[in-house]
Amino acid sequence: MKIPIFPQSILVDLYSKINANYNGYMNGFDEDFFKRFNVQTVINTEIASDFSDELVFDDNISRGNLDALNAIIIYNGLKDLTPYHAKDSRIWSALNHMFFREYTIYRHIKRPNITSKEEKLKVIGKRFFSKTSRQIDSENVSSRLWWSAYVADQCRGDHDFEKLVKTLCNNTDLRNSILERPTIFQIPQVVLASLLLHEKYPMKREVYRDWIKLINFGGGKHIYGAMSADELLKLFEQYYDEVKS
Amino acid sequence: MKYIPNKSYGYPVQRESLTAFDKDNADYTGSDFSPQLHSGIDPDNHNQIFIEVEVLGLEPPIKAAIGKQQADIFLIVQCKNTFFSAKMLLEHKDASKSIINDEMKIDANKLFGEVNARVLVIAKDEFLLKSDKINPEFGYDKFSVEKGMLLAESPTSVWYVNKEPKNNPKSIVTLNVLDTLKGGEYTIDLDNEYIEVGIGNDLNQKISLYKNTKGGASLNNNLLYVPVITFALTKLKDNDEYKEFKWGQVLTTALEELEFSNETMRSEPHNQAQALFRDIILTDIYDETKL
Repeated sequence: MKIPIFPQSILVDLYSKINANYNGYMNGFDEDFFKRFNVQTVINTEIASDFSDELVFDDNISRGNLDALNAIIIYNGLKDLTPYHAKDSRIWSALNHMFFREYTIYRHIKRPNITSKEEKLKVIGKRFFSKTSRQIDSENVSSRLWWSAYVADQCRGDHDFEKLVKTLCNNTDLRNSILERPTIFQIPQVVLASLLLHEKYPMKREVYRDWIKLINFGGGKHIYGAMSADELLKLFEQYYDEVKS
Repeated sequence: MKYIPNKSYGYPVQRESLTAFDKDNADYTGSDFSPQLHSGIDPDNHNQIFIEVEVLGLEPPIKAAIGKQQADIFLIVQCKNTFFSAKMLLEHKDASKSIINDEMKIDANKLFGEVNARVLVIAKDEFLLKSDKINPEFGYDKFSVEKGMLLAESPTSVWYVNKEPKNNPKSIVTLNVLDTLKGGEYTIDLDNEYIEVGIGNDLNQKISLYKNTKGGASLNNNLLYVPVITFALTKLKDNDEYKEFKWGQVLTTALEELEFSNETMRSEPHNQAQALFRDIILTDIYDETKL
């Protein structure tokens, strides 16, 4: 089947009725739920109708590794979804409601710190819907994973794609720097150099923060967009040495 | 000489200088580096965007350095939303020529919303750059260039990539039925990606009744949508920050295209809003197929 998209009016309607549809979010929507909506599809795309079955649910895997595994599954499973489409919250909300409901409950709602209905409603609003581009990158249950894999794919070159996605998903600070503040990280070779250095020197938060500061300052002096990944790797390694010393 | 915080490099870098004052205070006095960038959609492939670049005003010693392969001139295009960054080396092997022309093609599916483009000249070798135009306040007329140094930078050109259904500014308007509104009352909320219009049940019923006939649809456009778009355009003129939203970008791009093709269009928001409903300005990507 083709990838679904909600009309904006449906999106607004669903968002305003999260409370009324609470049972559906928590226990599953009835068969007729989506028939009421004018759900459309995105041209030239494809998703397996049983796609939800491919997602990994495993309590023995760390959350970072779980995100990495599912990021790769989602990225490969949404055929021909372009970056342009992937910035459209109408598509991600349709996917979340139709394919990622159970995964959202598992990954973001069944948590020890989320106990009351009020807290659960908040998470539903945050993970099933996105109002801004940044929320698509960092909060929406499925799009945040797709974008993680996309960013790694964009910069991978000859490097191991799965390893890069794992490095990205397992380093929360780095992931947030890349996905939430992409001013310099919009440059694929900057992302690659950062990921490769993280693989080489796993960094603690204190070191990471000073290191990223130097990279940011360096962006005012160097034109990163015109430099190769190798040149950036050398430069960022110098910054790392500076921080360590 | 004018020191521009966060922009001045501590050595001469050629930049845009539009006014006489700017030219007098530029790093290279009297000079202006303003390459012309023009973007458009490839007529043979609507998913391809082209960017034409014409380099004008580059200082002769910098241009000569490019011709001697001591420096490169790049067009850099970036889209923060989609983590897109591409650079293209502009060919300029004949140092005697004054203009560098080239064209870059980009898959439009890799872009969304704001896209930036600029032209940069970056040294790739060590050499001595000498120019009589170097601002006397530097205290020298020549300096040693090292690999990686920026020698010239253009202003950043900004444009927006959004694809919306054909001939229909309504695509960026969402109607929400609110029980609190009576009769013909409606509200407009611009602080979202789409313009959100709240209407009461009465107005919704009337709109629904008419929308499937040609005359009725036109009436709806004039009674509701044109005032909504007029309001949005008025606010957009007052506050550039609305361009962060999809509706602001779509209207800005659509108007730019309209102004290009319709020179007689008047600039008042209500005239622009009406023109937007008359002309085909937007492209289609979504299938009509329903699940």
